[in-house]
Amino acid sequence: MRVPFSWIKEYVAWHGTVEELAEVLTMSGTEVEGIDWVGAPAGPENLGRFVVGKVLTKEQHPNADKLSVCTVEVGETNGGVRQIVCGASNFAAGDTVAVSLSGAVLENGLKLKKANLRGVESDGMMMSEQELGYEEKSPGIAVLPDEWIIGAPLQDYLPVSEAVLELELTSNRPDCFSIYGIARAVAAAARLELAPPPIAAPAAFGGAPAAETIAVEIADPDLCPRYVATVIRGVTIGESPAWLKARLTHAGMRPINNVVDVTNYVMLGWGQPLHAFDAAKISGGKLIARRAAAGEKIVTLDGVERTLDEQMLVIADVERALVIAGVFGSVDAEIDEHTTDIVLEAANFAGPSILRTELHTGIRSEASNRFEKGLDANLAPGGLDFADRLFAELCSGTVAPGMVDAGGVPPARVGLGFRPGKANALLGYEIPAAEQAGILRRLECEVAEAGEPVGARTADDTDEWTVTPATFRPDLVREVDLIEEVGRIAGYGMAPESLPRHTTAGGLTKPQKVRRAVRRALAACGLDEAITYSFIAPDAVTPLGLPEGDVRLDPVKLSNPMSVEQSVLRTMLLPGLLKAVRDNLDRLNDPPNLFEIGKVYLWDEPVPAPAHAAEPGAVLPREPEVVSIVLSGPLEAENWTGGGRPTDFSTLKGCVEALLASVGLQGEYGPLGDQAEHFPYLHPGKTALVGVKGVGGTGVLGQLRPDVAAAYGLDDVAVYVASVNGRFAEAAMRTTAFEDLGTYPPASQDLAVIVARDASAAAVVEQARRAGGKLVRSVRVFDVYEGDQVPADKRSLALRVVMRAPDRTLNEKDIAGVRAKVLKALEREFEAELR
Amino acid sequence: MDDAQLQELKQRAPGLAAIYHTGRETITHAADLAALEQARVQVLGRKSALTEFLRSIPGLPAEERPLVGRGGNVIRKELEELVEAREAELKRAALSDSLAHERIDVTLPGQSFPAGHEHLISRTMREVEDIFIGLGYQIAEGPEVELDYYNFTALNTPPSHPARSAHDTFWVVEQRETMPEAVVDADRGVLLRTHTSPVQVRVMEQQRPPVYILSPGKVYRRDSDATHTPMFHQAEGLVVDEGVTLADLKGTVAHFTREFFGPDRDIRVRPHFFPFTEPSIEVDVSCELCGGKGCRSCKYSGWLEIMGAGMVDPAVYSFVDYDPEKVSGFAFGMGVERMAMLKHGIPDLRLFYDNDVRFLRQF
Repeated sequence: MRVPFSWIKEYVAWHGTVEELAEVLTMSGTEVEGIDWVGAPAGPENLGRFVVGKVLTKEQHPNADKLSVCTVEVGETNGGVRQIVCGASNFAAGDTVAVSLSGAVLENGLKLKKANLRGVESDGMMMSEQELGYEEKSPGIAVLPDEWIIGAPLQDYLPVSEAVLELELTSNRPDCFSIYGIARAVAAAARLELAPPPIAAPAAFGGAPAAETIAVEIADPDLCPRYVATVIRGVTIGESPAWLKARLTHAGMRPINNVVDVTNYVMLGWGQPLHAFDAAKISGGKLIARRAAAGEKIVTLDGVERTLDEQMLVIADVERALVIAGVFGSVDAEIDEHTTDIVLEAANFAGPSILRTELHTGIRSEASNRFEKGLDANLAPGGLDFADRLFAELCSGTVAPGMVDAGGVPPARVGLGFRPGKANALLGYEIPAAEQAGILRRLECEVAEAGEPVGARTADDTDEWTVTPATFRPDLVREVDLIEEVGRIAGYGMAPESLPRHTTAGGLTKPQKVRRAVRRALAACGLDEAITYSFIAPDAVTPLGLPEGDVRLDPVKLSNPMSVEQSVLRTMLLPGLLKAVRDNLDRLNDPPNLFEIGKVYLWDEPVPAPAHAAEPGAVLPREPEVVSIVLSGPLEAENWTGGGRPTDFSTLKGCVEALLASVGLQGEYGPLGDQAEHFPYLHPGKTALVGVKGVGGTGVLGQLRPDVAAAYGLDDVAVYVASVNGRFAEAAMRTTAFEDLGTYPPASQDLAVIVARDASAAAVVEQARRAGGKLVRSVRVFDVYEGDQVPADKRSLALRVVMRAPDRTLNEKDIAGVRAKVLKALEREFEAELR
Repeated sequence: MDDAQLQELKQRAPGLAAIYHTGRETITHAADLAALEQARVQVLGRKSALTEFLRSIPGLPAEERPLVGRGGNVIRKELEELVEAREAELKRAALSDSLAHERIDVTLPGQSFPAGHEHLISRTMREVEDIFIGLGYQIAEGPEVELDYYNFTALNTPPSHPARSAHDTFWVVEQRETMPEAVVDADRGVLLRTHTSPVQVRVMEQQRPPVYILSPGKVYRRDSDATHTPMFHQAEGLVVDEGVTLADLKGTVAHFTREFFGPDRDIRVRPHFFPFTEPSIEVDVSCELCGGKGCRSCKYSGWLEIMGAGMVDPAVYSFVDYDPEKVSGFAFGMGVERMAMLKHGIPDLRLFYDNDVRFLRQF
């Protein structure tokens, strides 16, 4: 909400700066988002250069058809009479006008200087409505009321310069949605005097009582507890005076005409939305607040025909709905330039119903924004008095005696139990009981204290007070709400900083520790962590060619996505990561190597919702966490010491090995075998499944098929991908037992054996290790050769066998024995030949 | 050989003393290793004056022999040592000479051991988690696809609250045996959580006080511009225990802020409104750029908003069967991206999800 500084100062005795006011508001719970300075730069010197003037003479400019040369009286203290050349034609000698004197800095930042216009000197400027800060209705300069004193500062009548506080209001405080409400909040927070409510009734009434023109019936009091109306006869529709237009403009509303402007002014100032009907258009002289019929139609003021339902309230006459109550008027009963008699509504509607209507119709107005929060039913009569007085003053209307009040004054509020000791206990510091009582009374609560008057005594928990909040504070319904008021107004700045006394032991769960270890390990491999959106396009997995019925083809769908591209939840991390790779390549970055740790969302084993938390049968998807890796280039960029080793399967496998090793695990790798159908997007010969002893299969790693890569925009890029599910975590982080280092030296033997090309290296190593017996400490492949030196269907594996005995130095015989056993076993199992 | 010995030798065997002198001179003046070898042969070789002198000893008178013989051997040993010393000296000089000609360009980059990078969001979450672990909190997690009950109802959000609308919250097409025909009303079941607070309710359902938890994770809201992404991360804390106060909340938040942003930063606590806390507050940290004087980055207020918080509303306890007369507690929540943006001066939220390696590698 926008609060013009000059307006709020009419209601509260504020003598500080606007910045200080902003601070008071912010620190008492009404956040000021900013201060908008409108109009000419403030400062007494500059504002003194904007004065009320009177046109004495107006002559045709000798050298320009469209200009006139005027003499303007601007008052003795401002130098008497000035000669001003003017381009407007909508005024005459004798008119009162707004003059900016030479030297004034205007709202656009320009400094006005004496000028020579086609040979005639011009000293000052007569201002247009736009230059005065509100919307221009008529071309030319602003012609002002004659009673304004010539030579007086313009600022006395119009905000030439205005500071507007931009407030962010919270939905629990409907009382703050008006200037007077904000003034009341300031008065309470800063202990200042609040002006009486600006709702004085008109000075005079006339004509037949209102009830003779209009009757009101509330058919659905649950949606409309109160409906008050008055009648104003003989209004003249026209333009609003300058001050009103300026006020509305600064507060963020467009001036329309005097009747609409008055209703808006009262809504902004007092907080009660009003609706003006043309009395002549109300059929049967009766307004009915009733639920709409299902399918009932209404053409709203924007010309759109809208279909209503039975949960929406309308204000109707005997024939048809005239207004979607509190939300939007129709074309049928609005005032227009021919309107003379007005029926003015000040109603109270149920907030949730208004909110629902807003959501269903998509309409939100200044009025409905207030009603939806639940207004005080006691606001209504004051709103009518306030408006009626202005109608009489500004629209030449005659206000009919008597208000029609359907629903009447709401029942008085019941008091709440309040313990000052409880407030101190919850806040954690001492606010004396007397001060607490004072704060609550400043907030217009009635406070009945227990026992003795409070005085200097500190009340304790046993003293329960009865506190009755004002009706404009619907948010105060429990003791804790009052405690917040006490703390808020006393100021949280006085709260000490302490820590809770009791505590539990903190820490991470095992899966959380595993996640951190994995993240660290993959980063240590040189991979960068990506975080991609959980939602993807429904067709994002299509290029993967997953088999029909695959759970990854049945995503969690959003019923209201923001775009098709983000309309389902991911079942795999891969599509998001491939897009990230593509985006990086498009930006000409180095080919990225990325990993992501995140959830996927699957319907394969739905999680039943607890009975108390959902309708029967409701389920949630499973959300397993997955680690995914995508490599698209060398881990080490080419550089002068080397680098640039192309990424291949072994790079990827090294990353997966490091991942598992970081939590003390070693993977078991094997070809896809009969699982191949689940991974149609991976290279059939360069893909492995990985498992962990005791847990089983935990992931897959391999090269992305080039055609699939191309489908993701990665043509000619060798992409290696891995996906590891969280199952390995079950076996992770077991305590490792110490193994004796051994005091006797090791011996090693290198064996190059020629085996079938498709014999797995892991199997050969495992066989060698087993055959070698307990002296063998390790067997590893240190070279692989395929080529001219061996037959085409064979390859040579160079094995290094390291042996050691715990109790002696190995001799030649020991070494030869192991060598022989290993060779023999490899010959037997793999038809291996020593190379 | 000390001076006294030398003096005696000069008197008793002036020839030997002369040999010694000449030998020393020759060795010390050898300019390089080749010259030194020559000098060695000349001074100590088979044809040297010293060798010849030593050979002549048996022909000396018997009373002179012991003195001259001992002197000769001492001199020989000393000259040998001198050769060794000179050799070491010349070698070191030669090495220094050759090192002086070996030059590399020390401005070339070092060998790279390319490390990857944790995403800034992960890193920030870890920092936040660790601060609260230090205060005795456990890290609690829960589902992202969540029930309306946990996300709104049990957090005291009224049925008609705008946050529940399809405008603000992502709703999920449910999978159950009886699918609702049409989706009209918002409060109907399954959604993407809009905050991590539902985890707090789930924990309170499972556990009696004391509760000290922090729940970090992904959350979702229907918003997309430079300051909003439809997915972002939050870390929300909950404490419920006997006698927990607003002052405890303030102290906790202040400790966190100084740990995270630095010891010289101030906090300020303002009243606010949230359905699930009462009293509710917002917490600001003093602006780093201007030190609280006011600048463009803090919209001239000197303060930057960092979190919402408050004392847990008794209405929330009623959903999990805690007794608000016996226990009290506080909750707080912060946007992880916002924390990172404020700490590192990142201007646009969308950078976090572009996954541009130039961004990822900065942190």
